[in-house]
Amino acid sequence: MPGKNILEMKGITIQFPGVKALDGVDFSLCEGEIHSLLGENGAGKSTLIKCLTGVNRMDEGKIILDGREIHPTGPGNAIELGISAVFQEINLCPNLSVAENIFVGRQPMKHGQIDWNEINRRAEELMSRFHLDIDVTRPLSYYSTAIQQMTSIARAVDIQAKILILDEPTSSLDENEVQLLFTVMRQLKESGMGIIFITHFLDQIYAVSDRMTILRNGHLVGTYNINELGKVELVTKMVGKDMDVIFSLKRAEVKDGAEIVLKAEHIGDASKINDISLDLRKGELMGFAGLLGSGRTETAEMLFGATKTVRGDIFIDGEKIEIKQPFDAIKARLAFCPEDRKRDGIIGDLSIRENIMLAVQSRKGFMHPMTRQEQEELADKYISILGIVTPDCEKKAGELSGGNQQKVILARWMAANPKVLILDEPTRGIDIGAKAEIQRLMLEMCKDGVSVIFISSELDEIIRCSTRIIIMRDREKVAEVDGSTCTQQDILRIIAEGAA
Amino acid sequence: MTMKKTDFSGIMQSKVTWAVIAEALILLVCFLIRPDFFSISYQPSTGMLYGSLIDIVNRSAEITIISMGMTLVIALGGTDLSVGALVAVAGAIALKFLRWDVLTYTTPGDYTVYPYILVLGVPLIVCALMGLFNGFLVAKGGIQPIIATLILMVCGRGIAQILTDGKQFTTGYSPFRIIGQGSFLCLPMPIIITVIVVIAVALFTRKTAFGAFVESVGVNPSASRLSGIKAGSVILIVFMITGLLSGIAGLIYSSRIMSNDSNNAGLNFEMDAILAVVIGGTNMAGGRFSLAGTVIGSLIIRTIVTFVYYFGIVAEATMAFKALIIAVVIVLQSEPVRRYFAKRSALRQARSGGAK
Amino acid sequence: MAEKNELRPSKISEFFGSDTFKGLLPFIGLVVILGIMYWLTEGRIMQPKRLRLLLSQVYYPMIVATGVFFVMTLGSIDFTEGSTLGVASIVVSVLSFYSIPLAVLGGILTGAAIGAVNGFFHVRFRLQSFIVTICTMYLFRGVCAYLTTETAIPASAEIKALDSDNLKIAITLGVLIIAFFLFKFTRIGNDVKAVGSGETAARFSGVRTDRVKFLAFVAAGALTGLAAFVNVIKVGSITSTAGNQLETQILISLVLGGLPITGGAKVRFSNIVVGTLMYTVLNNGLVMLGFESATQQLIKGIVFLIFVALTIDRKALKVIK
Repeated sequence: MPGKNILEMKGITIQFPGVKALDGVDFSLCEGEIHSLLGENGAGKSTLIKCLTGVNRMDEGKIILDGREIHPTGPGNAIELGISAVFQEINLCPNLSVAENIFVGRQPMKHGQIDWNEINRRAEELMSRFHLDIDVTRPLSYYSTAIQQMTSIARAVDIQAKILILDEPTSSLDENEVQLLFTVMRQLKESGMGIIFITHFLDQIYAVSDRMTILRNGHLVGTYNINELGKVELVTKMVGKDMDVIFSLKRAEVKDGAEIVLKAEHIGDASKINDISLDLRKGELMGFAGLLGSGRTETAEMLFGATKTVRGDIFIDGEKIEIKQPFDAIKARLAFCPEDRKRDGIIGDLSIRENIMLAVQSRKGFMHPMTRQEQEELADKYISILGIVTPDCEKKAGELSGGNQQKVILARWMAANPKVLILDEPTRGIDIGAKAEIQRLMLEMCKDGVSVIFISSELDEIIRCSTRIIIMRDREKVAEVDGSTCTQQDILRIIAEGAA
Repeated sequence: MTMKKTDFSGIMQSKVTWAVIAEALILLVCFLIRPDFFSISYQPSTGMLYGSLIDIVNRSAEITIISMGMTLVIALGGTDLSVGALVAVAGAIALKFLRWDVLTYTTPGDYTVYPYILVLGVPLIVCALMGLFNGFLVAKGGIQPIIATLILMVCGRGIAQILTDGKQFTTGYSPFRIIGQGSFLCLPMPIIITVIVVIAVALFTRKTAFGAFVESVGVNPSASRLSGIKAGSVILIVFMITGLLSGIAGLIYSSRIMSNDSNNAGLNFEMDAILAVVIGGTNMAGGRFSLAGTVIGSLIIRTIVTFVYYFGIVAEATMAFKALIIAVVIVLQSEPVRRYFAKRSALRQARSGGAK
Repeated sequence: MAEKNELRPSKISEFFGSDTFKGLLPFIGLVVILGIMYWLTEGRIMQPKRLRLLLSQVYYPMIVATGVFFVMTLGSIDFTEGSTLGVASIVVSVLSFYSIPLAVLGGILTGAAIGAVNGFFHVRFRLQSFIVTICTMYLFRGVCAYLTTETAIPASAEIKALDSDNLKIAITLGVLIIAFFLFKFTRIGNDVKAVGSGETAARFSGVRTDRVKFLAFVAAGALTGLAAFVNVIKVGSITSTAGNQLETQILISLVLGGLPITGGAKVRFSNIVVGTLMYTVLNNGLVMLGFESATQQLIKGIVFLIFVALTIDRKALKVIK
């Protein structure tokens, strides 16, 4: 049972130029408690966390830790106070070893020297607590995102923080890894640590947390015990209006005899994928299911020419084409929203207008420019179709929220009028309202005759929308199932056992 | 009223505004010291206009031309250190083709053994190819621009010397003299060439989508590639343009002195060009670029030099003063300072709003 | 578990692509260049007299490179070494008439002050080190030129009398050993590497990034100031060209030594030693072989190109802070 309050935040108000990011928000955390912090993007979750770690100064309010008022001045100071945070998008140092990453900034010393043996031994011990038996002297970039995530958690654990903040720790983890993380979280909870957990996955909230606090537009909606509030009520409270869009989505249907738009035969790349075949019909939505690293993304990248295809053939409308680089794929009217929105998708310093016109323009080549007016018309059209929240099309795309950025990328490809649209995790890390919106758009495009390949880690999404689902495992296609008849259990079983 | 104020604070946050203000201030001080600073006179004997302002623009020609290319390179997130060396190469080749038969004529004069078209064409082609070589190392070799261009920076001057057997040639060929010393429409020829280059680069980048592609690749190469931009070609073209423009600057430079100077031609031009671009408001990290800003940046650098002469400071200290003033401009443009001013104007606005 | 399934290239090609091999390349390069020079000069390069001359050109670049190494590990760049060396040499020369220890201290403090200026503007005004150090390079080159306008500045006879290989070797080794210790066994090295690998991440891990960056520039300046002392001992009087192009030489040396321009965790301390030695051997060898300076430049450029092509860590268009 949760013990006494260790953290109390009272009447926190933070003013940004033009907006109140937080307005008199209260928050408390008990010893040995997992407390979920919920809200749509822009609701103020990250701001609250940044305030607690001293990244943002608050304009009003008090933070009381263990009965003493504190004024964290920065992440370093927060760590000294016993508040440790694992942030969503701030990575570790990929070139340093796992062990170095855990101990950077506070290496144990022996006789005035860094004690490397100690570092490596303790790092190994920590990682093995998470049931990870890895070589901690390898550079972090050698390992998967999941392990990188664990490394930053290990870091927080080793600091013996009183409060651990996990900001979207699960967004890049697969199911097993999430379970592993939960085990660790429960262990930490038993040891009396207070954990603040931020996630977009509702199931995960119910699986692991004790209480939840909901924010909306910088205001506190309320704090509830986990069994006080059902999912639907929760979503309603988060969004502020009834959310039945998501439950009214209709699966993409394909007419009998629809022609095959995209066909891949035995394609493979230089290192990872050996032999994948698939065919996609007009207006079809094909889901790619599988764990992280199962080859879903790699296959999509091959189809789009982002990585080189060294074996096999790709046909568009029955015609064999050679895709050496993304430009060739775009010429053949393929489109691809990559998984890593920040790295591969959005061009942050450019305006929304430029981001949207980019694919159309690059297909035309730079010698055939679109006029400013054409660009603006195009941008305004998609801003209104997709409901991108922005004052005008000249705003920097990098300043938008995650969901809106995703819509800008989607707009870029919709503007290019593709035959085949490949979406790699388009709904990751965006709030539930925007998620439903993107699924709806996807399905509408299918209705208009566009074929969509949809990659997602969330099986319910895939099952809800897909006509057919391709299941991948260990870089091979292991099964192809009908979206209307299969269940989550079926897919999970195939992923686990490797056969239909 | 309030509307206007917000607009004003927006303008005050723009780097180009600061560059313009800096240039105006320096000119103002020049004017205070020498009231005849802005006077421009017409000299009927040469058919040219004279005056300090004309001189500043004229003397800034080489840097302005080079920095047009440098702006694009920096917008890509790179730097080109080889431009100064390419200036020397262009001069060396031009003067090599301007040789004459020393047995017939003993003094420099209006003669050349090779056709004039080669004198102009070959240096430009060679410089463009050298630029292409830089671009190739960056785009295909995956080498960071600063290192890739360091190679030609190191051996470019060596190449220039080898081409001319380490000698310094002179020439008296009058068509060649026109480039650096001639005039057109009463203005010195370098100004005319600069105007043409600036307009050409501006048209090429802004009337086609090339500028947008450069900015896009500069901000996020990976996302640009996935949006179908051939980042490699963009890089190649940008470096080639920079090489070509360095060649043009080299021809102007050597025409001014009617000679080649492999050791000193274009010395530190790369640094001046980079400073001009940065003062002009283009970020070294790549992305948005401003050609107009770069022109102002280049003018600032040249005005400072003129200014220092007027102040009567010994020639040796020119460099130090130039650096000092540039440093002030750059600090004023830096993000913390601009943010400070933005905050102050916002505060003032809030206060006046509260008073109402 | 994951890597087992990957289609791995054969062991040998894997080795040649590995970080271990890339780390070895500079050493191999040094041996190859030394070998070629030995062969071309028919062994003359290894004569004791020649070797001494060669070493005498290594000391001060190596001391300077040690300081710059820390700056470049941050992923930053420093163009001021040449002008710092010039100004600090003048200070050392002038002070040498009063007292030798004072001269040494003066040189170091001058360098450190210039480094502090660089660091301050880089950190406080968030200006790229590239731009800041171009400005300060011009500034102190100008100062140096101004001070040496009339005549070269002579140093005292006492300081020239110190000219002995033992002292210079002792200073150079001392600097290398202390720097190695700091880099390898204390927080400093790790903090610097962490900033180079990911500044935001480092800051969020509690590394005081601004202080680390500032101190790295100060250290680079201070070591250049110390190098100025070694330089004055050797040359005896300072002209306006003191330290000309030193920054380019150091940059090339460190890159030849295998230092990635982006800094970060892949830097190795050996980069300093190997790089500086390689540059000096190449330089000396070409002089001994009687090439003209133009041809020397060309050959240096080509060797540099080959090395860069072989060793560089390919991160296209990555920006220098």
